Amino acid sequence: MLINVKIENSHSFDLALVRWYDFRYKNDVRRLYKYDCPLLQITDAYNVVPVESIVELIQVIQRAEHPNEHFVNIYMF
Amino acid sequence: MNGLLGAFLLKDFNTFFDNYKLTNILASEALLALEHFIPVLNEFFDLCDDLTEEMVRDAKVSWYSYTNITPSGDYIRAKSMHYNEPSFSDVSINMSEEEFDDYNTYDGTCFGKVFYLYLIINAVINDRIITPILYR
Repeated sequence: MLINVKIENSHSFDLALVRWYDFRYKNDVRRLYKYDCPLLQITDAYNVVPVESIVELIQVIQRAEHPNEHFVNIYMF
Repeated sequence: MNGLLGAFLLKDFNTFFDNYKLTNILASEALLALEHFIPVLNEFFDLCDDLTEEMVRDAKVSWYSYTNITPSGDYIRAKSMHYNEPSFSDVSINMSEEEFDDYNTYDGTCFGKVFYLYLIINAVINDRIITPILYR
């Protein structure tokens, strides 16, 4: 969710509720990347972060026939 | 922030979304986001020492569908219906230098989905792979 939270006579926050990805095989150094792209899985971890901390859009591509395995396309930047 | 979807006081969160769901269809990503909304917002406000529980309860929340206030100017979307399909952007997120040791990052950024946005967290810094920890 993208929200602005205004607290009267105090702060105003622009926030994004995000769900994190993490490395799919984080305990296996050789499998962190595939084809030079980070190999990720979606987690059940959620946070709100300031919108200003978002750098840019990325392209996440599901790995064929592997549920919950995703590449980050690092070649589009 | 653009595309206002609604506004409510934080203390009226449940009433607002109960009513909203009667007349609007929310994508599964949005429903999951609502489940986590209050706990993660509480965690965030716990970091602000000068806020009392009462101030937070009376906070006004404006809910938006997209923004382009990021440094790249990219349009980040978190919409249940965007040209008849859900649209929740995947983004990279800058991690503070002090926190580098707490996360795996990719050149200092993590990744996630904005749930309305998701994010991905992971990184390698100077060829040193850092043990991934999602929460401090």
